[in-house]
Amino acid sequence: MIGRVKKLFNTVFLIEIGKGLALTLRTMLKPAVTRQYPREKRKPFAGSRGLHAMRRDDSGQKERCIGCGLCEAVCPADAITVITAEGPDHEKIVSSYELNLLRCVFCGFCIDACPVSAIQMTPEFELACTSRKDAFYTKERLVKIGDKYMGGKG
Amino acid sequence: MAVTETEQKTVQKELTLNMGPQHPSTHGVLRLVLDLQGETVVGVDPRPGYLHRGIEKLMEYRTYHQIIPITDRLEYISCMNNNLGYVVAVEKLASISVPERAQFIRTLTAELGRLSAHLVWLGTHALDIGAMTVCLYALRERELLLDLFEMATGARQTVSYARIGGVRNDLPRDFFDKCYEFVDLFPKRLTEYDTLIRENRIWLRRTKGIGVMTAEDAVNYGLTGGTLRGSGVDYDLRKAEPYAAYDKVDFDVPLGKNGDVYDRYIVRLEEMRQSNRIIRQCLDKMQPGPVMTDDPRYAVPEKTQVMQNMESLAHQFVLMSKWAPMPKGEVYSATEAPKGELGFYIVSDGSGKPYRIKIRAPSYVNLSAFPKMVTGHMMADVVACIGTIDIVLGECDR
Amino acid sequence: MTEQSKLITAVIDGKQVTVAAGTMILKAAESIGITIPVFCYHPRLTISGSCRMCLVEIEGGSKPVTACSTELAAGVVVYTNTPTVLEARREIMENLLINHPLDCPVCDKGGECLLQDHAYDWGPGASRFTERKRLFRKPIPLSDRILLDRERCILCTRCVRFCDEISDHRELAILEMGGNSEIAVAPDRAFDSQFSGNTVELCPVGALTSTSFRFKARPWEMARLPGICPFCGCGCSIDIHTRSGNIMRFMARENPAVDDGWLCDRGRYGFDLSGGSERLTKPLVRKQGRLVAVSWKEAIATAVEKLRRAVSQYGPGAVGGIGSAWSSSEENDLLQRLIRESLESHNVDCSLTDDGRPAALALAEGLGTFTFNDIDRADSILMIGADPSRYQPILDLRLKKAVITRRTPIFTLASTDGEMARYARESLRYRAGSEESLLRLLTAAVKKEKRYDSFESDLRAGGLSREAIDRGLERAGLGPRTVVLVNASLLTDDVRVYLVKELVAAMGAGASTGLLFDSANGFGARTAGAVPGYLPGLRPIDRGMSGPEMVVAAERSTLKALYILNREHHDSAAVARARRGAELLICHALFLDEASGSGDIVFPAASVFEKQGTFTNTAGLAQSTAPVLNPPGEARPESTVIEEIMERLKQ
Repeated sequence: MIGRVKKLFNTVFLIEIGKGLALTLRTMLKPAVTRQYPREKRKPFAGSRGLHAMRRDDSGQKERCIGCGLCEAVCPADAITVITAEGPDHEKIVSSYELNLLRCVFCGFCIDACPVSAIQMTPEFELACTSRKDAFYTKERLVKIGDKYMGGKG
Repeated sequence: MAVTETEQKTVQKELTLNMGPQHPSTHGVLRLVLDLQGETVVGVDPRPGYLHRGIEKLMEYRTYHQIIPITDRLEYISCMNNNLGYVVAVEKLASISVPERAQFIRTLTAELGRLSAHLVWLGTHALDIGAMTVCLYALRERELLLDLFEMATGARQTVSYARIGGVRNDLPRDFFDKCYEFVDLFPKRLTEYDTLIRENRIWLRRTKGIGVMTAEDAVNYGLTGGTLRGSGVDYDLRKAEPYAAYDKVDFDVPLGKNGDVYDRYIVRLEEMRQSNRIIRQCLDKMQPGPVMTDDPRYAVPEKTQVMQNMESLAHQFVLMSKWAPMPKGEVYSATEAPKGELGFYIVSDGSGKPYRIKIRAPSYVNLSAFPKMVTGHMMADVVACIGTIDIVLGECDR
Repeated sequence: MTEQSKLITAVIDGKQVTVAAGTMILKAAESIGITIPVFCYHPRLTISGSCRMCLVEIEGGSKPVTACSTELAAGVVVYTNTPTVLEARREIMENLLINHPLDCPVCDKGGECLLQDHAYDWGPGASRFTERKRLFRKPIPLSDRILLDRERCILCTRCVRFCDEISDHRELAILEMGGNSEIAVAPDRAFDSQFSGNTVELCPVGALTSTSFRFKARPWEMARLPGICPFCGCGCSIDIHTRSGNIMRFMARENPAVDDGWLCDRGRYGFDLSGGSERLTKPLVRKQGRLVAVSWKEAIATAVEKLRRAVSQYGPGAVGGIGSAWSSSEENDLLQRLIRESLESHNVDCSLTDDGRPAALALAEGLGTFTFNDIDRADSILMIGADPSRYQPILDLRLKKAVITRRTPIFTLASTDGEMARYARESLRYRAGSEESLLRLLTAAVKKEKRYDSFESDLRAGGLSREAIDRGLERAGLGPRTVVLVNASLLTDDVRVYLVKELVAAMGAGASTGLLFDSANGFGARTAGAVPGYLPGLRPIDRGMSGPEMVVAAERSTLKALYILNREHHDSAAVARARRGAELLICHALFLDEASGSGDIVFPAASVFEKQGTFTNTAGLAQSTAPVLNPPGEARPESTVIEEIMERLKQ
């Protein structure tokens, strides 16, 4: 009986709807959680997996990559192409390192695979570009990004 | 019932309506061919496949290790659970033991993943039915979860976190503070969602008695997850066949009674509360220790060791270029993903690449009950029923 | 070594195995699917037993034994996976890895390296070694083609054994002792063997690398496609490794009927010949004296029109076609059909400089029946004018194998110095040009005829004596199971063919004859009918002009049109001579050089790796190849072009 009266009361006075609206009102008074993205930027957390970068070797003269090709082997999206050649002293040189960001899935496996920690990921996430060509990151571009995020150190 | 002649003509004329694949409430690219009589649905034919990417075939051409990022793209709002389901299957195939800390981390992240999936479900489900505010609130909390994911794994969505034999990395120190903060906050937020819709008369009208599946039907249709438990069948793989650290934590499996849309809502909401409990227990119980198996056959060597000793270098090369030769055989392993039983059936020919992987996708199986649920209801209830079986087409079509 | 087929039974890992007595444990285990890891063992080399990786336990034995060098005894029980065995393997691996440099990232072998795989499968997983590793200057060149990195070497001696046993050039040796041991070129020797590339393939680690492949590609990046080596008459089976449309390397693919799993350097490193950036990519047609790139449609229409006009104006006899002993049988067949069926001429040959007919006659007469495996079984071998070391290197390995393992007597008769003379029981030199009298004399000697006086002048001219030949025949013990190897290019006229036939017949019924062609498809071009007087299948037909005759006729302008297949393998001077008088010269060419540039219509051809085709090797084994690359630009396989021309000529 009491339950039925209560139910009638609730029905007539729109109690549950009132409760909901009250919650909405309370939330309205709290500061907004929405971020106004291009103007307000969130700082990515440490270790965030963004754009790749190439570190320099200990001499600081050239890239650290030694051309083992493990990143290429482990990449599940076939985004990396490493082409190596023989240098003047029979050493292995990396003639071309190309990262195709159009294919990259940012799984970070290349970073895990690199035996000399040459390739790294930066928290850089704004990767939009206006031509497909810009999505191909060569060795030189990657080293530049490395300089920007890792101060060019080995 | 007596009807006039003109009415009879109108009513008896059946209309075939094509809903989707581009329709916001089909939760992706599901196409439904509806047979309508007036506003009543008399038949429905779901036509999935618009998001088919050949994932199972792709897997055959990748090493066991390389498959992990592909599983991210199954049910892309709970990547943690897909990663886990896959690696658990591989570990069963190769009898790999996983250290306890990794097990707790996996349980913790899987439950975070469940929360993130359920929040998307709640938000979109309520939005479909007309309650817009819930969606905004749910996504607000999901943002916190994504932050946690980013701290733990470096990625917000496609996390690729679990590894065969462990997890990618240990959780960073500040993760724990943030996570405690979250588990303290979240139950309050759950109450807020409830305040908005649990007793709301429109919500009740739209959900009570809609899409009823009896317990028997639910079992016969092979339903799993919240869709099954809404009908009152007590079946949860976390209890039935515990994996990761689920046997070390305490939680309840919420059940519904009527098997309608409303009960499934109650079940999933309560599941979130239980997930929160599990997360708190994991945080409390976790002991320091390794997060990767000590079996050198499957453990990717420590980065610092790779260029220090020959053994590690050889292991790094073999694992990264062709993965370990796995034991020959077949294995089926299932985990409780947010949508239900996510099973991986792996056939191994002894190489580093699987011969065949079949994915038992819960969304796909659950979708099969959709015609049963919706037939006889009104056109407007179609969206409520899609929402309640909680499908993600990435997993359904694979 | 016992050769009795006595069978014994033993147990390996709980599985019963029955093998011939004298079988090593390793082979017996392999026969029932149990793999035992090895480094130094190689099925085609002698057993060295030096790496100790294959240790297994025998029940009741005092300590583990090497599976590669221990004969399986009847009734013994062998275990390959006991804790002792695994421990032994771990320790071997640990020892091998102590001095192994951390080179995997810059080592070509990475990804297909036995050491890497075994370290993964059987190694201890972590290193206890903290001292400095052994250091060497690296890499050092062993030859122009091969570099040695001594730090990586595990001293399995596979390369040394190959040079000692298979190529028998004995250039490599181990210098120094103990921890200082190193592989090196033997003092005062050069590593210039034509089989040196095999050592790189044999090397289980990355110690030997070939300069042509260094740092080019990783094994996992390359597609591997089976192919047939197109660089001599042997037709060895190869695996062609390609990466993004380029051939990276050739590897041997074992074919017991041909190559025994070895390759010569000419084949292994020959693939660069077909590459190059200056390939012809568009059809060229001469207009107002200059070659102009045109569409295929136009080029073919021009060819059809000009061929038709040549036939109608000068008659079919004024048209000729030159196939090629380096082109596939299908292409040669199409060419002879174009000439014989579509243009109704009989002027077909496969070379501009030699008459292809006598060798075809020899084949038709039933010579050329030998197989490579006949060499393994032969009682004795007679070689006439043949120099397989230079022209059929893999056959050379076969012959050495016969001499080394079975002491098969060889009798060589040659006009030039050849390596085989060193292995021959008896070797004689004759003066080039006296082959006919040589054959007569040999036949007489085999038949033990006394009437050799009549050849006396010939003998003197040839620099031979009957006594020498008699002695050779006696020492070589020629008889019914003799293999007679004749250089096909000696067969310049029909008389010689019949002389060879008579000689073989005199040997007895079991003798087999090999015609040694130095071209990839010398055999096939003839059986495909690209020779005067023979249709495919060596069915006789009216004889037209031979290649050299066509050149002369063209020079004199009696032959008006010449169609040349595979220009790269024809003599440039002959093409130039033919050009002088011919009105129409059509050729298929890979490159634009002086000879192809003198043509009126030049079709860009596909290289042998870019098209399908069947090649018959010098032992009559027909093998098909599939394309592994795409032709560059608009280049098309010759067969499709000839087919189209034939189709248009019909209309």
